[in-house]
Amino acid sequence: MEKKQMKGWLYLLPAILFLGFFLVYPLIDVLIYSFEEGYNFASQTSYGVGMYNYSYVLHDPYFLQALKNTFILVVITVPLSTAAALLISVGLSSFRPLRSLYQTIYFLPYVTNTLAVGLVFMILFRRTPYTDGFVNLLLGWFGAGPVDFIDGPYPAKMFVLCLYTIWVVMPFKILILTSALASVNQEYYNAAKVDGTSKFRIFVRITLPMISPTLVYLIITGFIGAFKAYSDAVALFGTNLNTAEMNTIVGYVYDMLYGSSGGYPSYASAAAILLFVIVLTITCINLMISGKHVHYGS
Amino acid sequence: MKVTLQNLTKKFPSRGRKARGEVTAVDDFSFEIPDGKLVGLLGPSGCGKSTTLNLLCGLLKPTSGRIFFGEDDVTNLPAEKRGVGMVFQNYALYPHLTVLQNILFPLENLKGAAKLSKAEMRKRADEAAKLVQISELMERRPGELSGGQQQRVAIARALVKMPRILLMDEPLSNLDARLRLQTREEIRRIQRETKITTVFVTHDQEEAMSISDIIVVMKEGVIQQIGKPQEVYDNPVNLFVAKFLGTPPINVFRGSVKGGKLWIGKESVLDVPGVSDREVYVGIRPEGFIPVQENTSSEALREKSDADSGVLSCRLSGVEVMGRDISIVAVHEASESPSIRAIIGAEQRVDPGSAEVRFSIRPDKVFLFDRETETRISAVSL
Amino acid sequence: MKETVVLDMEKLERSDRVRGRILKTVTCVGLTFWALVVLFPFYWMVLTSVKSYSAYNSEYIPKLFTLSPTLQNYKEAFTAVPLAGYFLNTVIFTVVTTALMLVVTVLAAFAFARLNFPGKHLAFTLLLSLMMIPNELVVITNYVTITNLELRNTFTGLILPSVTSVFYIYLLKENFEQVPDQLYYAAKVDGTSDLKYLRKVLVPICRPTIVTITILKAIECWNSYVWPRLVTDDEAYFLVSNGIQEIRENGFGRENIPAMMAAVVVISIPLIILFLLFRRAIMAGVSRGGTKG
Repeated sequence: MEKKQMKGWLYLLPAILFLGFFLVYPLIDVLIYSFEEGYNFASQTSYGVGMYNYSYVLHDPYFLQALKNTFILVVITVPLSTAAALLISVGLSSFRPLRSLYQTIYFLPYVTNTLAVGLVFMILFRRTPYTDGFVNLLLGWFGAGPVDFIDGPYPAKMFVLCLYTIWVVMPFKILILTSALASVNQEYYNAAKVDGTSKFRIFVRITLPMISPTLVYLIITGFIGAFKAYSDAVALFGTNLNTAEMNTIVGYVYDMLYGSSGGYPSYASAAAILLFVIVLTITCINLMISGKHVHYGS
Repeated sequence: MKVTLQNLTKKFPSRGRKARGEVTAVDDFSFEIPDGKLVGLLGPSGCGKSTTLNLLCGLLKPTSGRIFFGEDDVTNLPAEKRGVGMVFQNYALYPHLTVLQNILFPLENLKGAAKLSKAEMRKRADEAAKLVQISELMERRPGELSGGQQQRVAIARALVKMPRILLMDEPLSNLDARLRLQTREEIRRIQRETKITTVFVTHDQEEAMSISDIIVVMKEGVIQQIGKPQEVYDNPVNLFVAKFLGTPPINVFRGSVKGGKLWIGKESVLDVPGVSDREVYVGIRPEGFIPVQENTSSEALREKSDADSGVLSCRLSGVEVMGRDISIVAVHEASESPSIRAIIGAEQRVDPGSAEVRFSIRPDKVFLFDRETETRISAVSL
Repeated sequence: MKETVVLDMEKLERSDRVRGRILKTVTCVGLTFWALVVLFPFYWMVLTSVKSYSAYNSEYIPKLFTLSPTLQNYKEAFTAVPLAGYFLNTVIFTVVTTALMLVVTVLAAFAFARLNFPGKHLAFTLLLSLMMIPNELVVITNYVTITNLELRNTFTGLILPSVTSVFYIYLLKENFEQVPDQLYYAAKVDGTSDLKYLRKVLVPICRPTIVTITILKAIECWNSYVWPRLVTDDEAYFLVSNGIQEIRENGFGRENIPAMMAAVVVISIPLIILFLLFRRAIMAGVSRGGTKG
């Protein structure tokens, strides 16, 4: 019996080692870091415990810039990408020819390297002395521009960042929504049709409630994902995001840790924990709102 | 509302990759459903009965042919403009809406002149609920209801918009045996009360026989026979219909007609005057067997003399006493199935120990079918 | 009277049909538009990669096609920057990390799904709560740990913190639990050891899920950027993502965009091929258990 009891833990041992060392310990440690004042990375000493790190981060203009950027990104991309993905999925489910081809195409961004394709976006949108770039060529046809989307005005840069973020997150949302739509029993639609329900009403009264759990799931994971945006921004604007005014909260954390302005794990920790608190709060609010309106199937 | 089908045909492109042909699900249907009747479309799966139902409700468009509701040609009308109520096999109740909201749903779709006030809708919904006896369940959700209750809600939802005809797809298939019996009475009652022309689809002959005014027996997209249940049972037009109706099923033997007599194996069992000599299938209903006791009782003798013919000898393999009647299981080498089954009254006695049982046959329970075409041969005296 | 009704019906039907056709066209146009938006960067990347350096730089107005494609940029990408090295590093990193993850995950999932031991429920609850921990939170300490252990610029430092995936343990455990108990008891009666049962019965039965998490993890590894960036500053240990960033910032000595695009094409191709080969498995897997970000 003794031996049998130990066996379970034996199987768990590798997981416990990995998780303990690289997930649980760091979790506790990051809390400690965030309250240790004046931590010195080289000597690994600190001279006190308190809220100074948080206060520093919250007063750091770079952090506030990152916070602002992240919030704008979240507020724009989450609703837009979810709505667009819903539209596309609904279109796709009513569109028989080429469906499989389109599904494959739509999924492509999921399997591509964010950094690599970001570079292509950068080139498409950038304006240099030698060329206005492809997007400005398009804008020119409509009599607008040229605008430098990469090194130019803030709204233009934000626009590209949002666009690229949406481009990157769409495949997942389309895939999930398409399968959610396909799992709605056809009999409901037949019943509604026999009862003379208009297409719009079928969508609002039947389709939407039926897929609402999926929508909530997508919105919540969308929020979490968008709050953690970083590599999209790096791909477009390079690693020096603070100078580009395009940093995100996660980018701020990494910059504090490493790189030209790095070496401050305490500030990084405080910023990371602030991010975690924000995400947690928003997720809870999401769940509370959706709990009232969402139908979870029987 | 009288419903007329005229040469209705529906073909589907065939699914297989090799055969680029078409599958004819419904082949040249013509029949008329009189106003206010309950009609059962009956057949094994794949016979086209559900397709017919979907053609009636407008979810499918026929390849050719016409459908009339009364005098209106509805062939090209989409489902929503036909004014039909449909009860789906899995009920299709919207799980996120309450029973009341489900029943109100069709009414809320009405537009223009047909639009109803809130109070009116509520009144109609209450009436429908009362009719199917679910008034106390209005605030529940479908997930909280039993199968039978869901079925009633589905019927209420179909009836609430006062449809011209009511369609039901396998209405009883999702219910357990006890509920099925109860619900089919219920459907009969509701149909009688509302007098709505109702068409339902089933693969269960007992279900169809028990509540339909008219049954339509179908096979592979072709109508086999239409008529009142008893008529069809007593007068099947072909072997398929004979086999499909009745529990226990009809017993089929290979036999032949020679010189006006029907032969099964080495025995002549019946006189069949007017039937030319040929190979036949002989269908004998289980209740068509009369056991002949060796010490012939007077009653059996009289029956036998009525039949005025020979007997059929079978090897006895079992006697099942079922109270009201007795079921005799026997074996005959000319039988199409491994064993044959006869049902006799409980007052008759059969010795379970004997090796052989001999039957005389009631002529009105015997049907002859051509061996090639499997169609009914009507003899003058049969 | 009747005639007008019929006429009305026909008109109504015609307007319905027209509306249906308009809707269909709009749908088709919309879907095609998005397909183009998705595909265009890929097209542009390939197109630019076959334009010669001088041709690209002389196009003030970018051309949408080229008449004189060249493979010179690909040669440049492999010679001027250590692209092959990045590539090899990423392959090693992906294969080792995924393999380790599989072993750890399968063992842990088996323990949770099949074995009984004291503290199992507590352990599993803890595991579930770990799913909520964002990577960004623990990266800081891991960075400090790896630095202190002097494991920067080593494969060990790259791989070890990337191995664990709480979610995959959970996913696989759920799948293992769906395998009927009888199979386990039958194997026990036959004297099969736990490990053999796991290897010969459980893993083959749950192959689809295992394939799914393998592919998902491989994609994640191939595209990982943040952790490699933190713990490597020696080019010899760069993965493709960092390589691309390096190429962008200091590559080729001058801004050679066609060569950059050639590098981008090269590092994008393996995953796209993998995707086209296992399209069904990947899409089914992602819809069951994938997230991005």
